[in-house]
Amino acid sequence: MPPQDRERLIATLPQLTAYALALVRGAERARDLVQETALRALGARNIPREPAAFRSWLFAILRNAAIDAFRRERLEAGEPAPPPPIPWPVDDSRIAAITVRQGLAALGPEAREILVLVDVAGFTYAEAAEFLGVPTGTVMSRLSRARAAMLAAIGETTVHPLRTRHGR
Amino acid sequence: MAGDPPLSPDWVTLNAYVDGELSPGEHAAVAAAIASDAELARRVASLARLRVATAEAFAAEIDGIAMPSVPASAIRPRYRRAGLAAAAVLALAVSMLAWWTLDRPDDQALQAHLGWAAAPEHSVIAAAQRGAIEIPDLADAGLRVAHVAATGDTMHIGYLGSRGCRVSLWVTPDDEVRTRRDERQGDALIARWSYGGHSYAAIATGMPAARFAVIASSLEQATIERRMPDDATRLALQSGRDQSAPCLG
Repeated sequence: MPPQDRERLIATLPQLTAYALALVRGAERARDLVQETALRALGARNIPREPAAFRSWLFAILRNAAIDAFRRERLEAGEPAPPPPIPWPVDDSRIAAITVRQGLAALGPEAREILVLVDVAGFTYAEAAEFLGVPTGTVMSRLSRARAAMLAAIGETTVHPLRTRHGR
Repeated sequence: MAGDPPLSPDWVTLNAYVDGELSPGEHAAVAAAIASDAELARRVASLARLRVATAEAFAAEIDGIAMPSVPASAIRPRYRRAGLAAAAVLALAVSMLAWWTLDRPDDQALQAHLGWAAAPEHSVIAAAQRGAIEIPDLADAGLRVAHVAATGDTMHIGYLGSRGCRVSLWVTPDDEVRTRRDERQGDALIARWSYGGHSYAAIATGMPAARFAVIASSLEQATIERRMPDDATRLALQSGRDQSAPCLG
């Protein structure tokens, strides 16, 4: 791999790590998955030049590595569950890092995957659809269902973020 | 208590609106619906906040993980776990690459930041247009307001740290509601969002990305919710400064 592509790979490691965390449980397994992805990328002959294609290419390598490594655990969760009712009105003060982490932990890999692709890695719907090999409408339904599940989980959690300090 | 999901626009469309994925016509229709429905506006705000909090939750998780080392070739390393030294070298390589690939500024906000960042530290604070915008406080991040310039409806607020860090907040009128988008232009880290009649751009150069993310979140929180940072954010601001190196530029 040319040095400039290696640097691009290094710059993408945080996003790849987030994606790995969406697919597997545990920082150590995620890190191993990213390491495996980097090694596969370094050995590749045809490397996309365009930045978005390069990012999708790396994410695809990681996804394939995850499937190879954890095929026995059935990465694909099968038919998605129906969307949960959204607890309107949502108490915005509950949407904080600690409650979101709890909400993420309650999601399946498919929901975590689409959230990372769009919210963390910045994939457009079209890019995510192409990457996952599904129609754009499927991306939209998966994403909205994942966020609905997040809000429902946040609404149900017994964990509360720290109270807001006023008057400073 | 579980209530009914929104009927119009539907839930999927609201998500697409927050993600900036609607066509101009659809976007305008949703924006009009939001403008006339306070409850709908609240739901959009909740979605936007969830989107930001999700990204921050993953960022926080990643912060605790040392990035794996990337060898110069595809030869598999004997040991899979890189040490802290390798992670430090990696971080240095990434920052040097970012510094080396500095792009030319292509927007007014970034040009204003770069111009101010190159100015002496004793910049002048012009008369702020009180009432138009509350100037967010970043004292917990070790940053003080050192520069305020207002031109027409546009305002540039410059925050200066004791170790050379400079953060700009660029404010212009905007009736749209847009969730925060983070980007990098060369050495510059930029976060943009729109809410409450204004468009905002937070910009820093030479600052560790993790620290900038916390500062941008605090500014976003202050501008959207018009309140001071909560305890968790204040702690993150202080921690971000304590754990970061002085800024490069």
